[in-house]
Amino acid sequence: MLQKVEYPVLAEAAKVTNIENLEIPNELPSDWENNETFLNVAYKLLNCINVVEGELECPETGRKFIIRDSIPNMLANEDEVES
Amino acid sequence: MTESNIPTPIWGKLDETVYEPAEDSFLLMDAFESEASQISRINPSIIVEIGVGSGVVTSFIRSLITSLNPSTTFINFGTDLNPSALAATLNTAKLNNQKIPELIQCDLLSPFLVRWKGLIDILIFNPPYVPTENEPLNHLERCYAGGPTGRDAVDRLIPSLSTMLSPSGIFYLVALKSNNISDIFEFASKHFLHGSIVLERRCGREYLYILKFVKSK
Repeated sequence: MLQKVEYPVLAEAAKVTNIENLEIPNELPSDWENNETFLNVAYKLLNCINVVEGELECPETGRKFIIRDSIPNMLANEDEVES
Repeated sequence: MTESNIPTPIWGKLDETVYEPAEDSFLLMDAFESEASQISRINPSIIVEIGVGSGVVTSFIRSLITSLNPSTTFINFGTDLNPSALAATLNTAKLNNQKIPELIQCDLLSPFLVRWKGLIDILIFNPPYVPTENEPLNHLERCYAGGPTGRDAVDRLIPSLSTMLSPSGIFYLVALKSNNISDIFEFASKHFLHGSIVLERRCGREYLYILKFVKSK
């Protein structure tokens, strides 16, 4: 699973949510497959934490997508769609 | 019909704009069971359903994969245009004591065309397949209205799919006889997907197919 995750993005998102008592490395440790401490952190990030209310921000355009009840709304607005 | 090893998921009261599970939903679940050994072999970790509706199909595939490959971690993603469907899907997961799927309100896979390239192990779509004169105007119509061929949504989706599927990825699609199965296969093969029929059944007035597509060699 971790191989399919863009870890630096996950770490950045996790830091923004300010979870207490969780040491989140910025980069995937080179020994990640065997690093128990890291694997526990990764497990928590992937499976135990859920953004219920918030927003996703596109790093390129700054466009924000609102998250409500755990679900982001990523519908394009009319002016964003090519006709 | 063979005995089901996985129970049909339970679901709660649904808003009228959310597709109530029907013969096509159950046919899809039967198809997954008949495909169990294939699905197990690919050991999927990313499963995506487009148009989750009530959430029963996502719930079912989750149960199936959990029973086939108990030590694999996987994520169910689901998309839908209708916020009521997304809420219903969360509720269905809870009613069946499952981890909630990752849900996104969007059209088809639009926000993920770049990020999910080559990552989708199983893709599922029970589309609005009924041939209708006009385009759908609201969520209720979007449950079934597929435009004149009944294939508006499917035809929009297929071109990007071979890049989205993982090397052993499989796309399962529900279709009607009147959608013209051989046309669908031909269109898909132009887009580097090889299609085949998994299951077919007459359901009332309709003749339904569960099709599967894999990347062409």
